[in-house]
Amino acid sequence: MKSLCERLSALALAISTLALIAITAIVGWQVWARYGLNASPSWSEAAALLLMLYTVLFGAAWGVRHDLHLGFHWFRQRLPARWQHHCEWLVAVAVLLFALLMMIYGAQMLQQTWRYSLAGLPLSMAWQYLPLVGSGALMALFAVEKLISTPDEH
Amino acid sequence: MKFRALLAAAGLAFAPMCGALVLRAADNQPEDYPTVQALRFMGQRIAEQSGGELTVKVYPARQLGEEKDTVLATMFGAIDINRVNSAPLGNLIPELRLLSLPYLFRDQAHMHRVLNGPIGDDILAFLRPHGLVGLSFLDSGARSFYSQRPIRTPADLAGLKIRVQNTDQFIAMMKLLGANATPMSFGQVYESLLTGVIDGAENNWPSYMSTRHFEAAPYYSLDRHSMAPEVIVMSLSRWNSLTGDQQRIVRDAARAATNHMTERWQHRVAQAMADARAAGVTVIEDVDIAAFQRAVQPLYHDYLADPIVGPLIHRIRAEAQP
Repeated sequence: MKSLCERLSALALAISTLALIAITAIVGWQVWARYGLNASPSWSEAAALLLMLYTVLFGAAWGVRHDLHLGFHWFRQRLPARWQHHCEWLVAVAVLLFALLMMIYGAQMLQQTWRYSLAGLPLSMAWQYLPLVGSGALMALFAVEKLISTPDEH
Repeated sequence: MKFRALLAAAGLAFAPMCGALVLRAADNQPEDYPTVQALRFMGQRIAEQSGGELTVKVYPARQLGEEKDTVLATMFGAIDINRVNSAPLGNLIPELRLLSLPYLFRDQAHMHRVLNGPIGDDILAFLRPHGLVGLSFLDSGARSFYSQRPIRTPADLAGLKIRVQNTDQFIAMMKLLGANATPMSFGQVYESLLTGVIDGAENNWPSYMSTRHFEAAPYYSLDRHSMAPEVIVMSLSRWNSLTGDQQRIVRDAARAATNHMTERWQHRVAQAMADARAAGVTVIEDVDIAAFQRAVQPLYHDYLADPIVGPLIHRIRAEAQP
């Protein structure tokens, strides 16, 4: 379980990083084409916006596994040790529920938009919602991993 | 006892809402724009005719999101009524793309004859398989080019960076006219004109004035290349939940809004033109429209060959001569 999750989170980070590199390259090309070649590409902005979804959502999945998400540590640190543990459990359950909702509703949008194409790109609109499903599935998995790996005192 | 009194008060406050259905309507234009006024007019009509059973709450100025997102939300039933332009709608529903073909309509009277008659009904019917009910069309005026220098022929556009809406059709049209199509969101246009990212854009009179684009591009050329109308659409799932009587009330109100809007629109255009002249805008009237029409003809090629859209274009053209 642990090694699978490790591999998947590395994959999420790789997708996020590659998308970020691609955005930088595309926007750089857009500026050069607009001013240097005087021929603005009509696909670049749409492509950069689409890739940003991959950067943010897969990056977020990686962040969930490494506890990089927002948290009120101030509050938790003031609780007795036993309650701190409950807090962690509660957070993992909340993340799991949120991730499942993201995945289910993302899949619904993906299915409903499959037949439409993105403006400015020769791609289905469903590509916009794919990272929502992928990232949701990964976050849910990482939350489950946290739940079963944290030894329960009761 | 106090609690009971509170409950009773709350009950009274909400009583008028019981049994009443509130339809949520989206528009991306600001409050004073004629399309928003048309939605408000439609809402009043619906409330009156249904005896308060149905009411419309209008959310103008992109409060519910950008047009491309609110269209999807309406298709999937999260928004009940939406006022959208037919051009972005054509990105989703290919049959609607013919409405933004350049020089499809000879003038406003031609467009009204087509859209408010059986051809208009046939076009609105294309929306239904996509989860939308087309209620009526609204004027959007004629779009023309504006720039930092006068444009009289397609040759004047050569190499100019012109902002377009992000639809394949407008991009193709700019290429045929020799301009350098630059798709960009509406909100970025003013700054881009000032900084030279683009040399010009194209839109109707009221929009040219309300966005103050005239300050950065003081030459408005009356080439009137596109009249892509606005459409009032309703979510099919909401439509199906209404009774037959309610459906009739909603449709009649939307049709009434079309007429209401036409009057207001003409007034608005006249006002914008007067304001433009007062602000020192140079209006180019001697545009070689025939040259523009010739240049964009290749766009029609694929549309005329299409078994569904081709016959529609012929019918629309037949309406040009009354």
